[in-house]
Amino acid sequence: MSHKGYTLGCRQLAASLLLLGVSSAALVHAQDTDDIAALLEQSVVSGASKTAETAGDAPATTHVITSDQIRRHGIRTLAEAIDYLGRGLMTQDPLHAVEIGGRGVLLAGDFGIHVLLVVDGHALNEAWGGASYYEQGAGIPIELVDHIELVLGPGSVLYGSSAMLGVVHVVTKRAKDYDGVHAILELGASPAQGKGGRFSSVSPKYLGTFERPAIGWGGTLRLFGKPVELTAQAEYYHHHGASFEWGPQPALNPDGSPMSFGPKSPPGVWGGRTTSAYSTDVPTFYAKLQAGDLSMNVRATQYRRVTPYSNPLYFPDFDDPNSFERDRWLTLEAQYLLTLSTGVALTLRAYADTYDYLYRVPLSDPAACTVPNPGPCVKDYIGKATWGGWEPRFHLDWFRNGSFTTLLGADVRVRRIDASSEERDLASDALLGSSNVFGVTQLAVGAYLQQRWSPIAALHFNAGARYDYDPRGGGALSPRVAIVWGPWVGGALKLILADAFRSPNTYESEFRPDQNLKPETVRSLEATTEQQFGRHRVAFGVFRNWWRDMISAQTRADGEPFYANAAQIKNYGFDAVFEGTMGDFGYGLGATEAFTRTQTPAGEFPLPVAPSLFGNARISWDAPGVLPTSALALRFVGSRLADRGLDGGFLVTPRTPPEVGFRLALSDSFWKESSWSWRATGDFVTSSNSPYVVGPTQYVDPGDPTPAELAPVNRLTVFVTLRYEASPTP
Amino acid sequence: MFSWSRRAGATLARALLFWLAINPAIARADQVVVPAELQADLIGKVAAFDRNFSVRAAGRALVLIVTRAGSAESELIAGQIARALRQLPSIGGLPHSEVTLVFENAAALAAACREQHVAIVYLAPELNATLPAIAQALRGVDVLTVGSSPDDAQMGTVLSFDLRDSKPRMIVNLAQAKQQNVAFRAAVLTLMRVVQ
Repeated sequence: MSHKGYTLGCRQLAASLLLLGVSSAALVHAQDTDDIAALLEQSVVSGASKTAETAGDAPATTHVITSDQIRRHGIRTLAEAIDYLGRGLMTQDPLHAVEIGGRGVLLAGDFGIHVLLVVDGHALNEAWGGASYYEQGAGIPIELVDHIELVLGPGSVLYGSSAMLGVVHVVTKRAKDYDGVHAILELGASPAQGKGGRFSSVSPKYLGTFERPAIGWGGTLRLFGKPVELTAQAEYYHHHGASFEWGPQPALNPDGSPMSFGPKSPPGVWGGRTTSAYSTDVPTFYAKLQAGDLSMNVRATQYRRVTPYSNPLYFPDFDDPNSFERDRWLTLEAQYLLTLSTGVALTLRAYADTYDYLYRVPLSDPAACTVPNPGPCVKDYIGKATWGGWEPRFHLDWFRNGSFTTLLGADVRVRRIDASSEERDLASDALLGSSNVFGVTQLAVGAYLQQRWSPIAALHFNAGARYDYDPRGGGALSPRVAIVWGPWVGGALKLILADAFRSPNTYESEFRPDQNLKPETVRSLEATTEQQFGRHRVAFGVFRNWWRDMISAQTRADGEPFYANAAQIKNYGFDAVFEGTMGDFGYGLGATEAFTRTQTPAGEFPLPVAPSLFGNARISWDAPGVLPTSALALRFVGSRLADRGLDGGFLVTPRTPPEVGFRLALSDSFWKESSWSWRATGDFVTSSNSPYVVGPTQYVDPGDPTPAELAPVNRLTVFVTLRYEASPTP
Repeated sequence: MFSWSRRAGATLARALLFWLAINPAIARADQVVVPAELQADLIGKVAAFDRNFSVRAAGRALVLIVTRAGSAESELIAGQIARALRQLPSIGGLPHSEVTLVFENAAALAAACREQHVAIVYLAPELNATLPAIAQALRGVDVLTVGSSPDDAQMGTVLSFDLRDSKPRMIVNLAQAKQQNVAFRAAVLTLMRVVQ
């Protein structure tokens, strides 16, 4: 080696070392920035323990759906958010009220009573039947949603009845995050469908359409010179169609005469094309006020829907738009945080709700009327509930540093429930008779205690229990124990044991006086692990659930129906999620698989309608320049047994094949820094049916080869959203 | 009966309005939204990205946690942040210690920062009314000020924390940072929302 060569080699070596040093320094900073980015990606939740904490520290598996994800994927409802962006929970649309289930358990026709829906701390499950809705009928303007916390597993320890599968906790935006005036117009369409899910027409006569005009406002007002934040939105959602083809299904009365389904279907036959009997109307108003430690919210909504097929209990006229269901709510809540001393605070929460339900069924066939009548009649099924409550909550921070804290609360609720069935003459509206008239005023109470202990930063213990007494079903104790350990940076291991319950609803408990129903209960044991690395997060969990005393309709030896705690459900499985962002790209992938069996006196069976496998995947791209933001999401659901799959007696067991739903959304502003923006969204589903048997042929005699007809799926929807946002501050 | 109900309603409404008017809690706008442990983690990481932090700290970072006298919430958050900070192995890569100080006035706070070579001042809640005066007094003082509430950076701290979409956000007041000799690297500024 020459001297010159040696010198060059030294220079190269020095330059390389310098470059390596600079690169290493840059790498260190990049890694550190990744650490900060990871911290900034941690979701702060409050649904699991009623205390603000990171999702990784929460004493329950908690998945967060953000408003940014909702907006870029063109999400319109809680159900869509859960299906395309959620974890552990899923929904199904039988063209009626959307059904929610999760982790292998979905109880068909339960109206969402096994999940607690909470908005800004207020439980929306109504007091008459316990129903909660996840489609537009939820009455929650989607633009107001800041984030949705899916708290998986039993949650009765703090929330009481219904939190069996989990708690869907919706947190709406504060005024600073919804600043100014917001005007939204959403328009969509779906083509008519024939048998087998084929698209049959885009003619305006058969086209399904929907529209949603909305106006919202957020800002800070001065009241007595003090700042008061107000966020509010009013909207009206209306959809009509699409048109579907049904039947024909032959139907006879018990005496052998042909059943009548009104003027749109020939005598003795149910079926044809529906053009009128599939619609929804939902006017909604929601407002939230925040003034220092005082917060108030009000929600008023009506959910009127016409379903295009008869359900297993009633057979209204075919394609009759006058047969409808209607839910109405008015909810009020006020909450005030009072700091009594260092480490002692008291939250005073008061709430009042009123709700009513009407199911109107016009019947052209007098034979279908209960009260003898020479002509057609109308049946009205009516439920009303008014309830109010008071929930004081003490927060004790024993060492004044957050390491050992106690939450002690009580919930005292008074409710008035009324229900009746009325039958009227269709022509004259004269009352023919009333039945099942019922009215009661009840007091339900609950008390809970939660202890959190964090001996070191990486270790959290959470133990608590709640005792509820409800005249419907008696007492129920719901304990929960959780250990959360962060053994390394960004990692968390959780072990959770929790119980939950559901008190019988009014319909079940009052069906017969001699039933002595107990609450349904569930016990869950789950272990989860989460790891955050930079802007990426992976989580995996396994669970085992024992559901006991499940309430179901039974038939006595004398043929009389009644409700009983008749079934158990056992299931186990896993769920996993992988999500994050890379530069302008966002992605997510989640899946849940469960093995579920229901045990009844008749034996052990798979659970109808509930999928054992479901999940979702998504990707989005914030394109630079003039290109719009693009977002593609898909949801998948495995094969499912239909609701009449076990008891319908069909020779070919009805079930639906695996289903994949795709959603593509493109969005942008009309021009740079414009107040006007647009979004175009398309939704396509591969399958043509959902697992619900429709029409009067719900059951067949042994050997009868008549196949089951399954409800169609609205396979294609396209819609555009136009939005104007005038914010007073940049 | 009707007139009694009307009178009772009017009395109740007046009482409510009076309560709204006099209740100091209704006026509070400085609620802490990001949990103390997460704030502490962010402070510990972000400090390393202040070019002047290691010189300012001189080998050991002193964190001064300032509370408002007589405020239970201020004391509570101060206790929580102090514990969370103490559990960090380092702040900005340096060993550290925490001291709590009851706020007297802005000038005294500035003097304490100079005399004790404070690296970070954490301002607990319920000091928002005094933040402009504190910002004024700390001009020319080499210190990183951190506010506990979202609007604090807008009102004069160098850094504060907010929550949006359930995720924490850092807010930086660059003008005040310059006045207090805080110079964040560009890499971390891209993760912050800049005000002023």
